[in-house]
Amino acid sequence: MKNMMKIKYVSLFVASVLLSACGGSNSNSTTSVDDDRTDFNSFVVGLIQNQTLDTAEPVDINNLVFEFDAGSNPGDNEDETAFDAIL
Amino acid sequence: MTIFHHKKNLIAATITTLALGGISTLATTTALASSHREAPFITSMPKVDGSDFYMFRSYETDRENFITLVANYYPLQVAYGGPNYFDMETDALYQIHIDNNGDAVEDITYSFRFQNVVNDLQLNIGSEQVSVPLKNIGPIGPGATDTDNVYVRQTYTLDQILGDRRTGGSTAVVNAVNGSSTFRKPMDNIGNKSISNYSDYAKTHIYNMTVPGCASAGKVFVGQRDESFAVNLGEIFDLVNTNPLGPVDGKSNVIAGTNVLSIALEVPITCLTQGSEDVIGAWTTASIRQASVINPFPGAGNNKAAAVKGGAWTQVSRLGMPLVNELVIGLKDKDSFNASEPMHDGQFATYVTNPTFPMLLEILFEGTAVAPNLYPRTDLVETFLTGLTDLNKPANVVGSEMLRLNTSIDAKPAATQNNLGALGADTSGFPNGRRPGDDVVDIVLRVAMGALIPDATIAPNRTAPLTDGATLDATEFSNEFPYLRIPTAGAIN
Repeated sequence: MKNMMKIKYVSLFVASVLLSACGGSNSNSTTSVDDDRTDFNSFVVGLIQNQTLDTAEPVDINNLVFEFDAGSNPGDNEDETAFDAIL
Repeated sequence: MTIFHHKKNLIAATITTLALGGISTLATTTALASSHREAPFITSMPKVDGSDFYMFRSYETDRENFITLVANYYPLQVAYGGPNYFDMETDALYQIHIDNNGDAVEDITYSFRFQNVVNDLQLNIGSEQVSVPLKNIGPIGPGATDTDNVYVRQTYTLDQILGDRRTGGSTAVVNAVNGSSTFRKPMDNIGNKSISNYSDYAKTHIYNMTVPGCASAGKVFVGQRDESFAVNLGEIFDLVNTNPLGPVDGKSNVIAGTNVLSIALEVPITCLTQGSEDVIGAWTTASIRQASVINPFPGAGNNKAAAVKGGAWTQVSRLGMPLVNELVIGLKDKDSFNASEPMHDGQFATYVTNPTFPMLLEILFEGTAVAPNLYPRTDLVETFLTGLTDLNKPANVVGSEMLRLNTSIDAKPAATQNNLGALGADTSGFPNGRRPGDDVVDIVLRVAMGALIPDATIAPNRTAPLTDGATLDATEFSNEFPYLRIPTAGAIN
Protein backbone atom coordinates (compact mmCIF):
# COMPACT_ATOMS: atom_id res chain seq x y z
CA MET A 1 0.00 0.00 0.00
CA LYS A 2 2.79 2.35 0.93
CA ASN A 3 4.62 1.72 -2.33
CA MET A 4 1.48 2.32 -4.32
CA MET A 5 1.05 5.62 -2.61
CA LYS A 6 4.61 6.55 -3.38
CA ILE A 7 4.05 5.77 -7.03
CA LYS A 8 0.97 7.94 -6.95
CA TYR A 9 2.87 10.75 -5.35
CA VAL A 10 5.65 10.67 -7.90
CA SER A 11 3.02 11.28 -10.53
CA LEU A 12 1.33 13.97 -8.55
CA PHE A 13 4.38 16.01 -7.77
CA VAL A 14 4.84 16.87 -11.40
CA ALA A 15 1.65 18.85 -11.29
CA SER A 16 2.61 20.52 -8.06
CA VAL A 17 5.82 22.12 -9.19
CA LEU A 18 5.23 25.72 -9.91
CA LEU A 19 6.42 26.53 -13.33
CA SER A 20 6.52 30.23 -12.84
CA ALA A 21 8.66 32.14 -15.24
CA CYS A 22 9.94 35.16 -13.45
CA GLY A 23 13.23 36.86 -13.92
CA GLY A 24 16.51 35.57 -12.68
CA SER A 25 19.00 33.17 -14.06
CA ASN A 26 19.35 29.46 -13.93
CA SER A 27 21.03 28.26 -10.79
CA ASN A 28 23.59 25.62 -10.13
CA SER A 29 20.96 23.51 -8.44
CA THR A 30 20.08 21.61 -11.57
CA THR A 31 21.50 18.27 -12.57
CA SER A 32 22.32 17.87 -16.18
CA VAL A 33 21.07 14.65 -17.73
CA ASP A 34 22.98 15.35 -20.90
CA ASP A 35 23.96 18.47 -22.74
CA ASP A 36 20.38 19.52 -23.39
CA ARG A 37 18.25 18.14 -20.62
CA THR A 38 17.74 18.78 -16.94
CA ASP A 39 16.67 16.06 -14.56
CA PHE A 40 13.40 17.30 -13.15
CA ASN A 41 13.62 15.46 -9.84
CA SER A 42 17.02 16.77 -8.88
CA PHE A 43 16.11 20.20 -10.17
CA VAL A 44 13.21 20.38 -7.74
CA VAL A 45 15.31 19.07 -4.86
CA GLY A 46 17.98 21.61 -5.68
CA LEU A 47 15.47 24.43 -5.72
CA ILE A 48 14.16 23.54 -2.30
CA GLN A 49 17.52 22.82 -0.73
CA ASN A 50 19.52 25.67 -2.20
CA GLN A 51 17.17 28.43 -3.29
CA THR A 52 14.86 28.83 -0.29
CA LEU A 53 15.98 32.32 0.53
CA ASP A 54 13.99 35.50 0.85
CA THR A 55 16.53 37.30 -1.29
CA ALA A 56 16.80 34.70 -4.07
CA GLU A 57 15.44 35.31 -7.55
CA PRO A 58 13.23 32.59 -9.08
CA VAL A 59 14.95 30.33 -11.54
CA ASP A 60 14.01 30.99 -15.15
CA ILE A 61 12.86 27.63 -16.50
CA ASN A 62 11.80 28.72 -19.97
CA ASN A 63 14.94 27.49 -21.64
CA LEU A 64 15.25 24.26 -19.73
CA VAL A 65 14.32 20.95 -21.25
CA PHE A 66 13.25 18.69 -18.44
CA GLU A 67 13.89 15.00 -18.36
CA PHE A 68 11.20 13.33 -16.29
CA ASP A 69 12.35 9.75 -16.29
CA ALA A 70 15.96 10.01 -15.24
CA GLY A 71 17.33 9.07 -11.85
CA SER A 72 17.72 5.67 -10.32
CA ASN A 73 14.94 4.11 -12.37
CA PRO A 74 15.33 5.62 -15.80
CA GLY A 75 12.40 5.17 -18.07
CA ASP A 76 9.63 4.57 -15.58
CA ASN A 77 9.24 7.99 -13.95
CA GLU A 78 8.42 6.22 -10.71
CA ASP A 79 11.51 6.77 -8.63
CA GLU A 80 10.13 6.38 -5.14
CA THR A 81 13.26 7.79 -3.56
CA ALA A 82 13.51 10.90 -5.71
CA PHE A 83 12.41 13.26 -2.95
CA ASP A 84 13.55 11.46 0.16
CA ALA A 85 16.09 14.17 0.75
CA ILE A 86 13.41 16.79 1.35
CA LEU A 87 10.57 14.77 2.84
CA MET B 1 -28.96 59.55 -25.82
CA THR B 2 -27.59 56.60 -27.69
CA ILE B 3 -29.51 53.43 -27.07
CA PHE B 4 -27.62 50.18 -27.00
CA HIS B 5 -29.68 47.45 -28.59
CA HIS B 6 -28.97 43.96 -27.47
CA LYS B 7 -28.63 41.63 -30.44
CA LYS B 8 -28.02 38.07 -29.37
CA ASN B 9 -28.36 36.56 -32.82
CA LEU B 10 -25.99 39.03 -34.33
CA ILE B 11 -23.54 38.36 -31.55
CA ALA B 12 -23.51 34.65 -32.26
CA ALA B 13 -23.10 35.27 -35.96
CA THR B 14 -20.34 37.72 -35.37
CA ILE B 15 -18.41 35.28 -33.20
CA THR B 16 -18.66 32.65 -35.89
CA THR B 17 -17.78 34.76 -38.83
CA LEU B 18 -15.13 36.95 -37.38
CA ALA B 19 -13.59 34.25 -35.23
CA LEU B 20 -12.50 36.77 -32.68
CA GLY B 21 -10.94 34.68 -29.99
CA GLY B 22 -11.28 37.47 -27.50
CA ILE B 23 -15.04 37.23 -27.52
CA SER B 24 -15.19 33.56 -26.76
CA THR B 25 -12.61 34.13 -24.11
CA LEU B 26 -14.79 36.75 -22.52
CA ALA B 27 -17.73 34.41 -22.54
CA THR B 28 -16.02 31.42 -21.02
CA THR B 29 -14.13 33.05 -18.20
CA THR B 30 -15.71 31.75 -15.04
CA ALA B 31 -15.72 34.77 -12.79
CA LEU B 32 -15.51 38.47 -13.44
CA ALA B 33 -14.89 40.97 -10.79
CA SER B 34 -12.14 43.44 -10.12
CA SER B 35 -9.55 40.71 -10.29
CA HIS B 36 -11.23 37.60 -8.94
CA ARG B 37 -9.96 34.41 -10.56
CA GLU B 38 -8.96 36.53 -13.53
CA ALA B 39 -6.03 34.47 -14.83
CA PRO B 40 -5.87 30.75 -15.56
CA PHE B 41 -3.04 29.86 -13.19
CA ILE B 42 -4.30 31.81 -10.19
CA THR B 43 -7.58 29.90 -10.21
CA SER B 44 -5.66 26.97 -8.73
CA MET B 45 -4.42 29.07 -5.81
CA PRO B 46 -7.33 31.00 -4.31
CA LYS B 47 -5.49 31.86 -1.08
CA VAL B 48 -3.06 34.06 -2.97
CA ASP B 49 -5.52 35.46 -5.48
CA GLY B 50 -5.54 39.24 -5.07
CA SER B 51 -9.04 40.42 -5.91
CA ASP B 52 -9.25 44.13 -5.07
CA PHE B 53 -6.87 46.86 -4.07
CA TYR B 54 -7.73 50.23 -2.53
CA MET B 55 -5.69 53.29 -1.69
CA PHE B 56 -7.19 56.55 -0.50
CA ARG B 57 -6.83 59.44 1.89
CA SER B 58 -8.40 58.27 5.12
CA TYR B 59 -11.81 59.83 5.69
CA GLU B 60 -12.23 58.69 9.25
CA THR B 61 -12.54 61.65 11.62
CA ASP B 62 -9.14 63.04 12.64
CA ARG B 63 -7.27 60.72 10.27
CA GLU B 64 -7.01 63.08 7.32
CA ASN B 65 -3.23 62.91 7.36
CA PHE B 66 -3.17 59.19 6.70
CA ILE B 67 -3.37 56.94 3.68
CA THR B 68 -5.39 53.73 3.89
CA LEU B 69 -4.32 50.76 1.79
CA VAL B 70 -6.45 47.62 1.57
CA ALA B 71 -5.56 44.48 -0.37
CA ASN B 72 -8.22 41.81 -0.65
CA TYR B 73 -7.30 38.17 -1.18
CA TYR B 74 -9.00 34.78 -1.28
CA PRO B 75 -12.26 35.95 -2.90
CA LEU B 76 -15.66 34.31 -3.25
CA GLN B 77 -15.64 32.70 0.17
CA VAL B 78 -18.89 31.07 1.18
CA ALA B 79 -19.34 32.03 4.82
CA TYR B 80 -20.31 28.57 6.06
CA GLY B 81 -17.19 26.93 4.61
CA GLY B 82 -16.12 25.09 7.75
CA PRO B 83 -14.51 23.40 9.45
CA ASN B 84 -11.36 24.93 8.01
CA TYR B 85 -12.82 28.23 6.85
CA PHE B 86 -10.40 30.62 5.14
CA ASP B 87 -6.92 31.03 6.54
CA MET B 88 -4.19 32.92 4.78
CA GLU B 89 -1.47 30.87 3.08
CA THR B 90 1.46 30.32 5.45
CA ASP B 91 3.87 29.56 2.62
CA ALA B 92 3.26 32.86 0.89
CA LEU B 93 4.45 36.42 0.88
CA TYR B 94 1.71 39.04 0.69
CA GLN B 95 3.04 42.47 -0.17
CA ILE B 96 1.94 46.03 -0.80
CA HIS B 97 4.42 48.07 -2.81
CA ILE B 98 4.75 51.84 -2.97
CA ASP B 99 6.50 53.77 -5.75
CA ASN B 100 6.88 57.33 -4.51
CA ASN B 101 9.01 58.85 -7.26
CA GLY B 102 7.26 57.69 -10.42
CA ASP B 103 10.02 55.40 -11.70
CA ALA B 104 7.89 52.23 -11.73
CA VAL B 105 10.06 50.59 -9.07
CA GLU B 106 9.01 49.94 -5.49
CA ASP B 107 10.54 52.25 -2.90
CA ILE B 108 8.65 50.92 0.11
CA THR B 109 7.16 47.45 0.54
CA TYR B 110 4.97 46.20 3.36
CA SER B 111 5.45 42.46 3.55
CA PHE B 112 3.16 40.08 5.44
CA ARG B 113 3.89 36.49 6.49
CA PHE B 114 1.36 34.28 8.28
CA GLN B 115 1.84 31.54 10.83
CA ASN B 116 -0.47 28.89 12.23
CA VAL B 117 -0.70 28.58 15.99
CA VAL B 118 -1.94 25.12 16.90
CA ASN B 119 -3.48 24.19 20.23
CA ASP B 120 -4.12 20.45 19.99
CA LEU B 121 -7.46 20.43 21.77
CA GLN B 122 -8.33 16.97 23.04
CA LEU B 123 -11.18 15.37 24.88
CA ASN B 124 -10.98 12.46 27.28
CA ILE B 125 -12.89 9.72 25.54
CA GLY B 126 -13.02 6.45 27.48
CA SER B 127 -9.72 7.25 29.19
CA GLU B 128 -8.08 8.17 25.90
CA GLN B 129 -7.07 11.75 25.03
CA VAL B 130 -8.38 12.29 21.51
CA SER B 131 -7.90 15.34 19.31
CA VAL B 132 -11.08 17.09 18.17
CA PRO B 133 -11.98 17.51 14.48
CA LEU B 134 -13.21 21.10 14.66
CA LYS B 135 -11.53 24.47 14.61
CA ASN B 136 -13.23 25.59 17.80
CA ILE B 137 -15.05 23.73 20.54
CA GLY B 138 -16.48 26.67 22.45
CA PRO B 139 -17.05 30.39 22.27
CA ILE B 140 -14.32 32.70 20.95
CA GLY B 141 -13.68 36.23 22.19
CA PRO B 142 -14.68 38.82 23.15
CA GLY B 143 -11.00 39.82 23.07
CA ALA B 144 -8.26 38.91 20.63
CA THR B 145 -6.51 36.73 23.21
CA ASP B 146 -9.61 34.77 24.19
CA THR B 147 -8.72 31.76 22.10
CA ASP B 148 -8.67 28.87 24.58
CA ASN B 149 -11.36 27.08 22.59
CA VAL B 150 -9.55 27.43 19.28
CA TYR B 151 -7.62 24.55 17.72
CA VAL B 152 -5.72 26.56 15.15
CA ARG B 153 -5.51 30.30 14.66
CA GLN B 154 -3.23 32.58 12.70
CA THR B 155 -0.77 35.29 13.53
CA TYR B 156 1.31 37.41 11.21
CA THR B 157 4.44 39.45 11.04
CA LEU B 158 4.84 42.62 9.03
CA ASP B 159 8.08 44.04 7.67
CA GLN B 160 8.77 47.34 6.00
CA ILE B 161 11.32 46.97 3.21
CA LEU B 162 13.01 50.03 1.76
CA GLY B 163 14.23 49.65 -1.80
CA ASP B 164 14.18 46.41 -3.73
CA ARG B 165 11.55 44.01 -2.44
CA ARG B 166 14.06 41.15 -2.18
CA THR B 167 17.30 42.81 -1.21
CA GLY B 168 16.22 46.09 0.37
CA GLY B 169 16.60 46.88 4.04
CA SER B 170 13.93 45.12 6.05
CA THR B 171 12.69 46.24 9.45
CA ALA B 172 9.92 44.74 11.51
CA VAL B 173 6.78 46.76 12.09
CA VAL B 174 5.81 46.37 15.73
CA ASN B 175 2.81 46.88 17.95
CA ALA B 176 2.97 50.49 19.12
CA VAL B 177 1.55 49.54 22.51
CA ASN B 178 3.65 46.56 23.57
CA GLY B 179 6.45 46.35 21.02
CA SER B 180 5.46 42.89 19.81
CA SER B 181 6.26 41.99 16.23
CA THR B 182 3.48 39.41 16.12
CA PHE B 183 -0.09 40.39 15.36
CA ARG B 184 -3.23 38.29 15.62
CA LYS B 185 -5.66 37.64 12.80
CA PRO B 186 -9.24 37.16 14.00
CA MET B 187 -11.00 33.90 13.44
CA ASP B 188 -13.43 33.95 10.55
CA ASN B 189 -17.08 34.76 11.20
CA ILE B 190 -18.14 31.21 11.96
CA GLY B 191 -21.48 32.23 13.44
CA ASN B 192 -22.94 33.96 16.47
CA LYS B 193 -22.80 30.91 18.74
CA SER B 194 -19.03 30.80 18.30
CA ILE B 195 -18.47 34.56 18.23
CA SER B 196 -21.38 36.46 19.74
CA ASN B 197 -20.40 39.96 18.64
CA TYR B 198 -18.15 39.68 15.63
CA SER B 199 -17.84 43.39 15.04
CA ASP B 200 -16.46 44.09 18.50
CA TYR B 201 -14.32 40.95 18.43
CA ALA B 202 -12.74 41.90 15.11
CA LYS B 203 -12.03 45.43 16.32
CA THR B 204 -9.78 44.03 19.04
CA HIS B 205 -7.52 42.92 16.18
CA ILE B 206 -6.92 46.45 14.90
CA TYR B 207 -3.44 47.38 16.05
CA ASN B 208 -1.63 50.65 16.35
CA MET B 209 1.71 49.99 14.72
CA THR B 210 5.07 51.63 14.85
CA VAL B 211 6.27 52.16 11.31
CA PRO B 212 10.06 52.19 11.11
CA GLY B 213 11.35 55.70 10.53
CA CYS B 214 7.92 57.20 10.94
CA ALA B 215 7.11 59.65 13.72
CA SER B 216 3.41 58.82 13.97
CA ALA B 217 1.85 55.43 14.58
CA GLY B 218 -0.19 53.77 11.87
CA LYS B 219 -2.77 51.00 12.00
CA VAL B 220 -2.90 47.45 10.74
CA PHE B 221 -5.67 44.88 10.46
CA VAL B 222 -5.81 41.56 8.68
CA GLY B 223 -8.97 39.53 8.71
CA GLN B 224 -12.12 38.38 7.00
CA ARG B 225 -14.41 41.04 5.54
CA ASP B 226 -17.55 41.13 3.48
CA GLU B 227 -16.88 41.27 -0.28
CA SER B 228 -16.46 44.95 -1.11
CA PHE B 229 -16.84 44.75 -4.86
CA ALA B 230 -20.14 45.05 -6.70
CA VAL B 231 -20.74 43.64 -10.14
CA ASN B 232 -23.47 42.13 -12.26
CA LEU B 233 -21.20 39.19 -12.73
CA GLY B 234 -23.09 36.61 -14.70
CA GLU B 235 -24.69 38.86 -17.27
CA ILE B 236 -21.51 40.82 -18.01
CA PHE B 237 -19.62 37.69 -18.88
CA ASP B 238 -22.54 36.25 -20.78
CA LEU B 239 -21.63 38.49 -23.69
CA VAL B 240 -22.82 41.52 -21.74
CA ASN B 241 -26.29 40.06 -21.55
CA THR B 242 -27.73 43.19 -20.01
CA ASN B 243 -28.69 46.71 -21.03
CA PRO B 244 -25.65 48.91 -20.40
CA LEU B 245 -27.91 51.94 -20.43
CA GLY B 246 -30.34 50.61 -17.86
CA PRO B 247 -30.64 51.79 -14.26
CA VAL B 248 -27.33 51.79 -12.41
CA ASP B 249 -28.92 49.73 -9.67
CA GLY B 250 -31.26 47.64 -11.78
CA LYS B 251 -29.38 44.38 -11.42
CA SER B 252 -28.16 42.30 -8.54
CA ASN B 253 -24.65 42.25 -7.19
CA VAL B 254 -24.29 38.50 -7.35
CA ILE B 255 -21.13 38.32 -5.27
CA ALA B 256 -22.79 40.10 -2.34
CA GLY B 257 -22.69 37.98 0.77
CA THR B 258 -19.42 36.28 -0.03
CA ASN B 259 -16.33 37.11 1.99
CA VAL B 260 -12.70 37.98 1.36
CA LEU B 261 -9.55 38.29 3.46
CA SER B 262 -8.42 41.88 3.79
CA ILE B 263 -4.95 43.17 4.52
CA ALA B 264 -5.36 46.76 5.67
CA LEU B 265 -2.81 49.40 6.57
CA GLU B 266 -3.10 53.01 7.54
CA VAL B 267 0.16 54.94 7.22
CA PRO B 268 0.89 58.66 7.68
CA ILE B 269 1.10 60.44 4.34
CA THR B 270 4.52 61.83 5.13
CA CYS B 271 5.87 58.30 5.59
CA LEU B 272 4.85 57.28 2.09
CA THR B 273 5.71 60.32 0.01
CA GLN B 274 9.17 61.42 -1.05
CA GLY B 275 10.42 64.96 -1.51
CA SER B 276 8.08 67.30 -3.36
CA GLU B 277 6.30 64.53 -5.22
CA ASP B 278 2.74 64.22 -3.91
CA VAL B 279 1.70 61.31 -6.11
CA ILE B 280 2.35 57.78 -4.96
CA GLY B 281 1.71 54.60 -6.90
CA ALA B 282 0.89 51.29 -5.27
CA TRP B 283 0.08 47.70 -6.07
CA THR B 284 -0.21 44.42 -4.22
CA THR B 285 1.44 41.11 -5.01
CA ALA B 286 1.45 37.60 -3.63
CA SER B 287 4.35 35.22 -4.04
CA ILE B 288 4.82 31.57 -3.20
CA ARG B 289 7.83 29.31 -3.16
CA GLN B 290 8.84 28.19 -6.63
CA ALA B 291 8.72 24.46 -5.93
CA SER B 292 6.33 22.22 -4.06
CA VAL B 293 6.46 18.49 -3.47
CA ILE B 294 3.44 16.66 -2.15
CA ASN B 295 4.15 14.50 0.87
CA PRO B 296 2.60 11.06 0.35
CA PHE B 297 2.69 10.40 4.09
CA PRO B 298 1.77 13.61 5.90
CA GLY B 299 1.44 13.50 9.63
CA ALA B 300 0.74 15.64 12.65
CA GLY B 301 4.32 16.09 13.79
CA ASN B 302 7.03 18.42 12.71
CA ASN B 303 8.49 17.87 9.24
CA LYS B 304 5.37 15.98 8.21
CA ALA B 305 3.55 18.72 6.36
CA ALA B 306 1.24 17.80 3.50
CA ALA B 307 3.70 19.41 1.09
CA VAL B 308 7.28 20.59 1.19
CA LYS B 309 7.75 23.97 -0.42
CA GLY B 310 10.95 25.74 -1.28
CA GLY B 311 12.85 27.86 -3.72
CA ALA B 312 12.73 31.58 -4.25
CA TRP B 313 9.60 33.61 -3.69
CA THR B 314 7.83 33.60 -7.04
CA GLN B 315 5.13 36.13 -7.78
CA VAL B 316 1.80 34.68 -8.86
CA SER B 317 -0.62 37.55 -8.28
CA ARG B 318 -0.43 41.26 -9.06
CA LEU B 319 -3.08 43.93 -8.69
CA GLY B 320 -3.01 47.70 -8.91
CA MET B 321 -5.75 49.28 -11.01
CA PRO B 322 -8.99 47.30 -10.96
CA LEU B 323 -10.07 45.31 -14.00
CA VAL B 324 -6.76 45.57 -15.87
CA ASN B 325 -5.84 41.91 -15.85
CA GLU B 326 -9.54 41.09 -15.99
CA LEU B 327 -10.58 43.06 -19.08
CA VAL B 328 -7.52 44.64 -20.66
CA ILE B 329 -4.79 42.01 -20.78
CA GLY B 330 -5.29 39.24 -23.33
CA LEU B 331 -6.01 35.80 -21.94
CA LYS B 332 -2.73 34.36 -23.15
CA ASP B 333 -0.77 36.95 -21.17
CA LYS B 334 -2.76 37.01 -17.92
CA ASP B 335 -0.45 34.63 -16.08
CA SER B 336 2.50 36.61 -17.36
CA PHE B 337 0.97 39.83 -16.10
CA ASN B 338 0.45 38.34 -12.65
CA ALA B 339 4.13 37.40 -12.53
CA SER B 340 5.38 40.73 -13.81
CA GLU B 341 6.64 43.93 -12.26
CA PRO B 342 5.56 47.44 -13.33
CA MET B 343 9.00 48.33 -14.65
CA HIS B 344 8.49 45.77 -17.41
CA ASP B 345 4.99 46.84 -18.43
CA GLY B 346 6.10 47.90 -21.90
CA GLN B 347 5.46 44.30 -22.91
CA PHE B 348 1.73 44.81 -22.27
CA ALA B 349 1.39 48.30 -23.75
CA THR B 350 -0.51 47.25 -26.86
CA TYR B 351 -3.36 45.96 -24.73
CA VAL B 352 -3.82 49.52 -23.47
CA THR B 353 -3.09 51.51 -26.62
CA ASN B 354 -5.20 49.20 -28.79
CA PRO B 355 -7.74 47.73 -26.39
CA THR B 356 -10.09 44.95 -27.41
CA PHE B 357 -12.85 45.55 -24.87
CA PRO B 358 -14.40 48.64 -26.55
CA MET B 359 -14.43 46.80 -29.87
CA LEU B 360 -16.08 43.82 -28.22
CA LEU B 361 -18.84 46.12 -27.01
CA GLU B 362 -19.19 47.54 -30.51
CA ILE B 363 -19.58 44.04 -31.90
CA LEU B 364 -21.96 42.93 -29.16
CA PHE B 365 -24.14 46.02 -29.58
CA GLU B 366 -23.76 46.50 -33.31
CA GLY B 367 -24.99 49.77 -34.69
CA THR B 368 -25.22 51.55 -31.37
CA ALA B 369 -22.01 51.02 -29.45
CA VAL B 370 -19.04 52.60 -31.18
CA ALA B 371 -15.49 52.07 -29.98
CA PRO B 372 -13.49 55.32 -29.88
CA ASN B 373 -11.50 55.78 -33.06
CA LEU B 374 -8.32 56.85 -31.36
CA TYR B 375 -5.15 54.82 -31.62
CA PRO B 376 -3.08 54.75 -29.61
CA ARG B 377 -5.63 55.29 -26.85
CA THR B 378 -3.74 58.04 -25.08
CA ASP B 379 -6.68 58.53 -22.74
CA LEU B 380 -6.30 54.95 -21.48
CA VAL B 381 -2.54 55.27 -21.28
CA GLU B 382 -3.04 58.18 -18.88
CA THR B 383 -5.74 56.41 -16.94
CA PHE B 384 -3.91 53.14 -16.45
CA LEU B 385 -0.21 53.72 -17.08
CA THR B 386 0.85 57.25 -16.14
CA GLY B 387 -1.87 58.95 -14.16
CA LEU B 388 -3.95 61.84 -15.46
CA THR B 389 -2.30 65.16 -16.12
CA ASP B 390 -3.08 67.68 -13.38
CA LEU B 391 -4.62 64.95 -11.24
CA ASN B 392 -2.41 62.01 -10.34
CA LYS B 393 0.49 61.96 -12.76
CA PRO B 394 3.94 62.03 -11.12
CA ALA B 395 6.33 64.66 -12.44
CA ASN B 396 8.81 62.08 -13.69
CA VAL B 397 6.60 59.14 -14.49
CA VAL B 398 7.66 55.92 -16.16
CA GLY B 399 4.63 54.35 -17.79
CA SER B 400 3.51 51.37 -15.76
CA GLU B 401 0.31 49.95 -14.36
CA MET B 402 -0.41 50.77 -10.73
CA LEU B 403 -2.97 52.61 -8.65
CA ARG B 404 -1.89 56.24 -8.30
CA LEU B 405 -2.98 58.69 -5.65
CA ASN B 406 -2.35 62.40 -5.40
CA THR B 407 -1.98 62.67 -1.66
CA SER B 408 -2.43 66.44 -1.68
CA ILE B 409 -6.11 66.17 -2.58
CA ASP B 410 -8.26 66.21 0.52
CA ALA B 411 -10.49 63.29 1.32
CA LYS B 412 -14.23 63.66 1.29
CA PRO B 413 -16.52 62.20 3.93
CA ALA B 414 -18.56 59.26 2.81
CA ALA B 415 -21.79 61.22 2.55
CA THR B 416 -20.38 63.61 -0.05
CA GLN B 417 -18.34 61.17 -2.11
CA ASN B 418 -19.40 60.64 -5.70
CA ASN B 419 -19.19 56.97 -6.58
CA LEU B 420 -18.08 57.89 -10.10
CA GLY B 421 -14.98 59.52 -8.67
CA ALA B 422 -13.25 61.93 -11.00
CA LEU B 423 -15.89 61.31 -13.69
CA GLY B 424 -18.38 62.68 -11.18
CA ALA B 425 -16.20 65.70 -10.42
CA ASP B 426 -14.94 64.12 -7.21
CA THR B 427 -11.19 64.12 -7.64
CA SER B 428 -10.61 62.41 -4.31
CA GLY B 429 -11.82 59.17 -5.90
CA PHE B 430 -10.94 56.76 -8.68
CA PRO B 431 -8.80 56.93 -10.73
CA ASN B 432 -7.12 59.15 -8.18
CA GLY B 433 -6.62 56.21 -5.87
CA ARG B 434 -9.62 54.06 -5.19
CA ARG B 435 -12.09 54.12 -2.31
CA PRO B 436 -14.39 51.27 -1.30
CA GLY B 437 -17.44 53.16 -2.54
CA ASP B 438 -16.12 53.95 -6.01
CA ASP B 439 -18.14 52.13 -8.67
CA VAL B 440 -15.13 51.20 -10.74
CA VAL B 441 -17.07 48.93 -13.09
CA ASP B 442 -19.24 51.77 -14.32
CA ILE B 443 -16.28 54.15 -14.39
CA VAL B 444 -14.10 51.81 -16.42
CA LEU B 445 -16.95 51.01 -18.81
CA ARG B 446 -17.42 54.70 -19.51
CA VAL B 447 -13.71 55.48 -19.79
CA ALA B 448 -13.22 52.52 -22.11
CA MET B 449 -15.88 53.94 -24.42
CA GLY B 450 -14.30 57.38 -24.44
CA ALA B 451 -15.51 59.37 -21.45
CA LEU B 452 -12.16 61.14 -21.28
CA ILE B 453 -12.02 61.91 -25.01
CA PRO B 454 -13.41 65.42 -25.63
CA ASP B 455 -14.19 64.95 -29.32
CA ALA B 456 -17.57 63.29 -29.89
CA THR B 457 -16.70 62.50 -33.48
CA ILE B 458 -13.90 60.29 -32.20
CA ALA B 459 -15.83 58.88 -29.26
CA PRO B 460 -19.56 58.93 -30.08
CA ASN B 461 -20.44 57.19 -26.81
CA ARG B 462 -18.35 59.48 -24.64
CA THR B 463 -21.32 60.70 -22.63
CA ALA B 464 -23.26 57.44 -22.49
CA PRO B 465 -24.06 56.57 -18.85
CA LEU B 466 -22.88 53.01 -19.18
CA THR B 467 -23.44 50.64 -16.30
CA ASP B 468 -23.35 46.97 -15.44
CA GLY B 469 -26.48 47.53 -13.35
CA ALA B 470 -24.88 46.79 -9.97
CA THR B 471 -23.78 49.74 -7.94
CA LEU B 472 -22.32 50.67 -4.60
CA ASP B 473 -21.36 53.81 -2.72
CA ALA B 474 -19.40 54.93 0.31
CA THR B 475 -22.39 54.96 2.63
CA GLU B 476 -22.50 51.17 2.46
CA PHE B 477 -19.14 50.98 4.21
CA SER B 478 -17.80 51.92 7.61
CA ASN B 479 -16.40 55.39 8.19
CA GLU B 480 -13.58 53.92 10.22
CA PHE B 481 -10.49 51.87 9.51
CA PRO B 482 -10.47 49.28 7.98
CA TYR B 483 -13.65 50.62 6.31
CA LEU B 484 -14.77 47.32 4.76
CA ARG B 485 -17.82 45.68 6.30
CA ILE B 486 -17.72 42.81 8.79
CA PRO B 487 -17.95 39.48 7.02
CA THR B 488 -21.12 37.60 6.37
CA ALA B 489 -21.63 35.07 9.16
CA GLY B 490 -21.62 31.36 8.51
CA ALA B 491 -24.64 30.92 10.75
CA ILE B 492 -27.04 33.24 12.58
CA ASN B 493 -29.69 32.07 15.04
